[in-house]
Amino acid sequence: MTTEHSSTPTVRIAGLSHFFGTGDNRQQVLSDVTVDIHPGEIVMLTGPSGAGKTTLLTLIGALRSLQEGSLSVLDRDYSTLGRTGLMQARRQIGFIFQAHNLFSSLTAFQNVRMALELHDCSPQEMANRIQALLTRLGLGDRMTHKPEALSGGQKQRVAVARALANRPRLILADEPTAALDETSATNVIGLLREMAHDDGATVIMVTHDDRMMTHADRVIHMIDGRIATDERPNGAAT
Amino acid sequence: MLRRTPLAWLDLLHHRRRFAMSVTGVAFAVFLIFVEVGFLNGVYDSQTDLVSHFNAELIIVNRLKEDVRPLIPFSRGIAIQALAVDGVADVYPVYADSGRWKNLDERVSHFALTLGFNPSHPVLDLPELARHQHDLQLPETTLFDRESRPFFGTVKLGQLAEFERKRIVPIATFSLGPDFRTDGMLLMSDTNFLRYFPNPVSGEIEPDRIEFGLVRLAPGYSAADLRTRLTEALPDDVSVLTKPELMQRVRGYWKRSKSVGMVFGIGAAVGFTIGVIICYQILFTDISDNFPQYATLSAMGYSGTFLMKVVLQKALLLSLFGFIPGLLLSGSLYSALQRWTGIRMWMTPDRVGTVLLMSVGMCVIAGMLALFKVLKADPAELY
Repeated sequence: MTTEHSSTPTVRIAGLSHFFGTGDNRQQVLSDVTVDIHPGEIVMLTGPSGAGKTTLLTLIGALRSLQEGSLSVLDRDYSTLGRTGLMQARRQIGFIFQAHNLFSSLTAFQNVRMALELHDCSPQEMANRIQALLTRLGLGDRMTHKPEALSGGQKQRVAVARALANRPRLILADEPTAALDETSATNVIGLLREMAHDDGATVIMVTHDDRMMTHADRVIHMIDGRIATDERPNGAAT
Repeated sequence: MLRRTPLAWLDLLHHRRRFAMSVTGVAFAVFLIFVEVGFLNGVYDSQTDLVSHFNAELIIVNRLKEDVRPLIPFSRGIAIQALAVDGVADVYPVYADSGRWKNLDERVSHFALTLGFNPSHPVLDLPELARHQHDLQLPETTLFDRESRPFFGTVKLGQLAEFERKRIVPIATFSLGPDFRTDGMLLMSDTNFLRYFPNPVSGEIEPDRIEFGLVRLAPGYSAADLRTRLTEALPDDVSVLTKPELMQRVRGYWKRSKSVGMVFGIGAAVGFTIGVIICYQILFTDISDNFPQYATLSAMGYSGTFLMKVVLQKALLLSLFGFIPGLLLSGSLYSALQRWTGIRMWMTPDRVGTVLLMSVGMCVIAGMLALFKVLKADPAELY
């Protein structure tokens, strides 16, 4: 196993705090979070609801603007980025949401293609990549199906394919396997492991799924907006 | 294969029922606009149709005359005076009056607008007039407008009829059509005209009161230049107008004094507003349904501009697809109305173009209102 801790961290967080609301309703959701996450790591983010996991994920994903502290992702310092900068930063990240959020009017193939069209990619290359990816996820015979003709698990796998199609160097996932049966879940986590361990991508996943825990390189447990524990269960080098 | 997935198009097609209903809604709004625009232009076109058929570059009318009716004659002598002006090739004096034509089926009389002129003058560009100019020289002959309203009864060519309590023989028909003031029309020689319309008090023939003086230009002269010189040369009680100017004056009269522009303009605005509302409803529902998907696109790194384009493309597609059935429906209504009422309902390319622009504008405005919603698609809400 290669752990390139000598390289620049994918995510570098220092003194990160975040608040919701204003005035008397102001609530602190993240307090002074400091953590580095490295290429090739699969990180599970755990903790009770309201612990700030999702907020942390959206901040790393450039879906929210920064309030306090510093946050650098894939060599971009978010504190210096405006709307357009954040939008460009998001293009380097693969997002997997709890809901599949597929366009009901587009086929599985077209839904995945939407992600590729943001990047310089010839139609032929797009087709090859989508085909390979969907086949890998067991959807080779479902490419021209629209979401209404797919099962819940199949739709979720299409959404995974859409997130991974650009070969992002950072993948942010929120309960990606909740809707999946055993085989599909194994399939998806296998693909994520491949991308992390072979291509050096970083995976950050909010999950309560115990099946996933065994695949984690690192488990960060959050309570009340703070990092409570940060462990490497498989004895990976620090 | 396309570089870009045509999202707007596929989205519209996917929801077939909704698409069909949307297209129907937009078509309905387009139809409303067409009807109002059609009536408005129908008034103008009907009132100016006679003038547009005059064979003349310049037309002399009484200074006070603003429409074909009421009749406001001026002195024939003035028209003769115009002949002396350099650049005038000919002047055709045209008499006009309203006379009672007897419906022989029902024995009731109705008023018909009657024009009298020298039949050797090609006063109107009607082929029947040229064909029958010699026959019209005969006493008690006339050409009858076959588009006249049905209450004039059956008109049998070559058979004796009654006009102004005198004998008359319709020898042929022509096609012009009624307007909002005229139900039927006759054309006859000036000689015949003066016999049917003597001075009502004295009963004498009175050849000096004409309604129009049609001026033909000599080759090489400009209408604008001659118009200025004629205006200077002739007394102040007449106006010298080019044909388009006279038509414009009639339009202006109907616009101002009859408020038709206002009435039908408001109608068209109501149609437009209904279109905006329908279109907005459709686009808003569509955005609401796809809200998480749009937010996902935004999370993936698609710009707000891209989302706006998708919405505006949908708006544009709706307007074009709604326009086509709206146009076809309006086209059939136009020809039916023209057949039943005689109002000129002309579907000209520039009017089709104007309404097309309005229907695009309608949907684009709705699209822009709906944009406020799509721009609220916040990807941070997705987790």
